[in-house]
Order: sequence, then C-alpha cells, then structure tokens
Amino acid sequence: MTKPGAQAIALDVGATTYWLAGLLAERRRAKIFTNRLRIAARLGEGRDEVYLLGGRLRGDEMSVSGPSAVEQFEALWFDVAFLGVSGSRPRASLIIPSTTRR
Amino acid sequence: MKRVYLRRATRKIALSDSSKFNAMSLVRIAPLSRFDALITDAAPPPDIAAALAEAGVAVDVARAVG
Repeated sequence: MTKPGAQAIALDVGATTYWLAGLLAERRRAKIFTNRLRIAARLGEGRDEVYLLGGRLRGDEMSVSGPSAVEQFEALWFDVAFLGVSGSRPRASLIIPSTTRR
Repeated sequence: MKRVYLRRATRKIALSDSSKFNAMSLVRIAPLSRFDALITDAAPPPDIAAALAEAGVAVDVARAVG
C-alpha cells in the first residue's frame, strides 16, 4: 500500500547513487532498504528504519547478493527504485520506500 | 539483483551522469524501457534522447546541488 508522497528508490554503488543517498539523509522518516553496506552505513545513523539484506558479500562492491538476498527482496514491495546505469547495463543497489514526504 | 529491484518497485528511476552517454549505445537502451524516468546531469545527445522517448522513458536533467 503506497501512501501519498511515498517513494521507493534504488541506488547503485557508483558516485551518482551514493550522492543521491546523501540527499536522502534528511528524509529520516523514510524506510531504507539496501544491499549496499556503504549506503546502509551512511544513512543508518539517525534514522529509525534501515534494512540491510543478508547474503553473500561482494567485496569489490561491498554489496550483498545471492539467492538469500534475492528471496528477501522478492517478499518486499518498494514505492520507488533508483538504479544506477552504466554504459554496459543497469544495476541496482538501493531501494528506499518512504512513507512520509518532508 | 537488478531484475529484482525492477520487479518489486512501483516506480523505476535510472540514474546516469552524462559522461555515460558515450557508452550508452542504442542497443543497450532497450532495457531502459522498463524504467519510468532517467535522471541525469545534462541533456542526452539527440539520438539517445530520441531512443529514450521512443522507449517511453522521461528524462529529467537535474541541477547541481552542492
């Protein structure tokens, strides 16, 4: 159920998505779902709800992936997903459903 | 993981800085049709812009913030 003003956002590990995560830091009421350790760490302080998926850690990206992470995502629904796009393929790293517009 | 994000989200937004346009071949824009919008920092070149429009992907050029 999407409340008015709610957003879901997916961010890549790249500079663009990490930068967006910084902009989202002020939306403290938003629920953050991510498989990126760095984004979880950046947004985790001072926020009520940050959800970090569990699974196998990819050291080069500091991201969690694998069947268990996929399974957890499949059980969720996000208002908005933001995905970083490279020249080769779109990639996702962060999803942020927010329930309150500030 | 990308496919999961796309499958489980109401709105799907792509982020790309304009330096990626050079590597963004028209063939590779096809998967972008699954996105509702592309947010970038400069207007894409005409061929890329046309392909995005064809794919129904809105393009938002963000202004610099800090």
